[in-house]
Amino acid sequence: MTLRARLRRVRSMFLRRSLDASLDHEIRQHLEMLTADHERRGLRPEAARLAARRDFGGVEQMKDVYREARGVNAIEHIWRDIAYAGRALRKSPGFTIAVVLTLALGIGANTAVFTLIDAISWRNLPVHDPDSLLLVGRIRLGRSETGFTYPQARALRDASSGATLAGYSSSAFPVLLTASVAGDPEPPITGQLVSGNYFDLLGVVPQAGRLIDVRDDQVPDGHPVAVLSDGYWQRRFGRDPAIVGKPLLLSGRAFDVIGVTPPEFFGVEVGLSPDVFLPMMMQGAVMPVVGDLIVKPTLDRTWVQLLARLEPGVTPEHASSMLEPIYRQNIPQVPPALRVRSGSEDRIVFTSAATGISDLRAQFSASLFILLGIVGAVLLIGCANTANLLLARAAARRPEMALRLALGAGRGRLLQQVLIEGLVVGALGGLFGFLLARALTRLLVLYASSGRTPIALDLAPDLRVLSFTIATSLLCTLVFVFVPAIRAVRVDMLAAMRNISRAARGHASLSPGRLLVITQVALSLLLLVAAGLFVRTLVNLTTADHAASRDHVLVVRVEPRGSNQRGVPGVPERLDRIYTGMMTRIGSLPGVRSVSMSNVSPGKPESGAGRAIVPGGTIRMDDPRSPNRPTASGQTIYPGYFATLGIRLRGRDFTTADNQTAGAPVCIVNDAFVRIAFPDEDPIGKTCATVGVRAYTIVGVADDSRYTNPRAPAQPVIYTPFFQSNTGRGQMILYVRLDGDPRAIVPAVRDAIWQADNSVPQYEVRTLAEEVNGVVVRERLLATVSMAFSLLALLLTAIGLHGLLSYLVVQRKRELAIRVALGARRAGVVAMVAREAVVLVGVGTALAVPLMMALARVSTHWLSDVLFGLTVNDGATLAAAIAVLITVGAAAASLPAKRASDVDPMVALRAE
Amino acid sequence: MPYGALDLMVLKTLDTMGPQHGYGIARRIEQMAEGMLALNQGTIYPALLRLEQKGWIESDWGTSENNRRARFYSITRAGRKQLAIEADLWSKTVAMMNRMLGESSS
Repeated sequence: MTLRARLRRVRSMFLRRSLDASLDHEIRQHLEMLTADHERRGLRPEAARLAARRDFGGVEQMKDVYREARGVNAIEHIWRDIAYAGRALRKSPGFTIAVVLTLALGIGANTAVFTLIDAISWRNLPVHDPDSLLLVGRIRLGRSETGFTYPQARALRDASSGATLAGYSSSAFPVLLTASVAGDPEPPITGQLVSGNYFDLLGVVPQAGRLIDVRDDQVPDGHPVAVLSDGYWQRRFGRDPAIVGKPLLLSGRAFDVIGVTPPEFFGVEVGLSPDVFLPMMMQGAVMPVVGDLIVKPTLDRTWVQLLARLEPGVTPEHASSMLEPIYRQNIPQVPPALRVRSGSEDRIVFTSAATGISDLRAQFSASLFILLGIVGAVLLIGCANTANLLLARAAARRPEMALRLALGAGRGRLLQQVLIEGLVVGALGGLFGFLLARALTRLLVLYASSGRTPIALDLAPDLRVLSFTIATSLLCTLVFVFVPAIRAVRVDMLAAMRNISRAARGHASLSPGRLLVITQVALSLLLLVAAGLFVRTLVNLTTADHAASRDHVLVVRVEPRGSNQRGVPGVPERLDRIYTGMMTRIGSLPGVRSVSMSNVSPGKPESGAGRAIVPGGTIRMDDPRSPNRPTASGQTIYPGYFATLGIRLRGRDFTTADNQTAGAPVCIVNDAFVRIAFPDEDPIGKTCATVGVRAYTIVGVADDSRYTNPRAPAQPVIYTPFFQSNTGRGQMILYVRLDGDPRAIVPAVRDAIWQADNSVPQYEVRTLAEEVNGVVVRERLLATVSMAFSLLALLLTAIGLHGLLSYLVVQRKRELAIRVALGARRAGVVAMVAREAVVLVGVGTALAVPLMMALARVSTHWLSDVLFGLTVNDGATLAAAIAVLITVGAAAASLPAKRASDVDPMVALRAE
Repeated sequence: MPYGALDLMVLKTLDTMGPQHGYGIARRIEQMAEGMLALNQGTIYPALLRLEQKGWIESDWGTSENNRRARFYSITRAGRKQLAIEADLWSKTVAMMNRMLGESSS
């Protein structure tokens, strides 16, 4: 057949009605003219009409041949079947809604998780030629690292190595800015420092104004210009193009807005979205706490990430070999003892940056694949339910099928019809699932964003996501349509016809249904166990510390002007006056029980250089960090810290008298410190020395607390009073313990801080619970989602079990009625249903346990990374899950059992 | 009637007579057959459809002798080419058949 003929056939399929009409018209015309001719030859009108009919031949046969030739068959049958399926589904809306909703939820959840995996791991950056974009890294002692000091980065960039390099500030050195447009303070925003050729290297095109270029990156502190991100432009300025050219006050410094980045560009770190991009030369102005790293670089501040593109024909190996000597020349001079740390053995390597750089990938990848497994299992359970419903439908339609077979319908046609009904259901489920997925994805991101930094991802569904949804929907359809389709067609005509009024009966018809319910039970148990493990992990992690009334502690970050200055005379005194003023004002507010400050916040790495601990209690600052020697971190606090955070303390707390420069040096240590330094003695009253400074007397021992990394064992800590601490103090954290609702008092706390010092930027005020949750956001995500979906799975399984047992009772109504009539006790009838339920749940459980063992063995190294405080083979969790399953199973069986025992023999037998 | 004969007759009719409606074609074929052909006139419609699908004829709506809207068929360029091929094939087939039948009868 030629292409044109094919096209005509397809066209005629859609135009069937009008083509039929035109054929009818032609036939009518033909017959009229033929009749007229016969009349002209002398026949009477009646006879002429008959003669015309005879000459023409069978009209209907001809039409059949004509239609066949026109291509009605297969394609038009499918078209009709779709319409028929639509009608049938409309006729049973309950069934349709249940099935489509189940599928939509399952497919939606799968698509949502898949979208996240795609966005975090697989999506290319929206930059020019992402595949050739590289990240410059180092191999240090076999481990790969990224990040360079500014002089290193500049030297590497200026070298002719066959690679073009551009830098940006690593997210490990966040740029938090206070913004002010009209003179009033605003919520803090995030920034990123970029080198002059950053946007040029990436090939990003501004949507307004211009982007930072090499002219803006020449003189330290000399280029106060800012490029806004699309998100910030929209959020703060309502996309007002007039903002370009206006000044913006960032952390007290006026910057000129020069342009806006395009909407799809979030920087190269996936999940982060800086609000403003600033020239790297402005680092000192916007990162006051760490000091100016361009003018005065320090060895451990490797804050510049380098991106690269190789020139044509240059291999990565060649570029590395050119860059390595330059890198080594730019390692600061250090004592030989520190040589290993200095990086003189480092190698330069290039890795692909096509999909961006992401901490999220490491943090969430495993979790997201576990989630995908969970929602996949839920989808399977949903499919099993759908299959069971379709089976029941097929059983109800057996008489119809038998009749149609008897009337000569081909089995293939019947099969096609059943398949198409399944496909229509699957397509509807997929469509709604796809729509639902968009909302679910946002919800998941919102949830994951509750951590330290908000996560911004490009979540627009791409081709990969779309294909995933379609493939999932098709696969589901195959799964749930297969058994019912086979059964629907393998109808024994005679048996079904003889008994048209009664549906199929007997145990045989139930076995596929049973198998499906058993599968559901097994999968539900797996999901319950997974949820149990994740929930208990979360509980283990979050109750490790500050367990009591975490909701009643507020955490406020404060950073008065000058808090970054070290060793400037008078500054500590001024800061202390501000801090004490804040604490006094807040402490006198109604509802505040205690208030204190520390330089360490939950969820932030501990500050203060590590001090090596020598058994016997000596701490030495000059010791190189060797892996064998435990180190303690220092923490600067005000009196009342332990009471405010609810950390138990032996000995005494600091007093105001301790907090004097001239006072006797005192410190408090934690249990972890004591275990190493004073394994067999009471440390209180002992001293621990730091070389070059005074000897500190230990006045108290605090319980371990692990807020920075709940998974790691507790680290040794030395607490010192604010005035006796000689490290940089930087940002301090204010902790406020309250009696009542923390939210109600936040405005009063803000006011009190402003009254003490109106230059303090107002960072976000959060509760300690929120801070801690931010640290365990991944665990919380897993626990919440797995819990929600295992409950959904349980519900679906209960519905499946209930449906199957109800079906069983209806099928055997007559038998039950006869038994009851013959004197069977109703308890026996109930027992029959109960036995069925027990078998189903029992077999499901028995299958699930070995499956679980196998899964656990395969995924141990994955899961041990995710779990905490328990192993995969946790007996208690398994027992609890089985108990829940049995309870739900019993509940699902109770209704059918009651219906069975309520069978009225008279009614049931008369109905026959 | 041999397979394909009707299609060939339709093509030839359209080639000599110009555009015709279905009845016109049927009448012409019956006239040419001079009573030798018992044709159910309706069978030409599937044939017309076949030919149109192959692109050898095309159809358009026009006005018939009795002033009614009717569908007129006409032969296409491809149809003329096909007609030449088929006619040639047909006469060869007939000549061959004649030879064969003549041989066997003598």
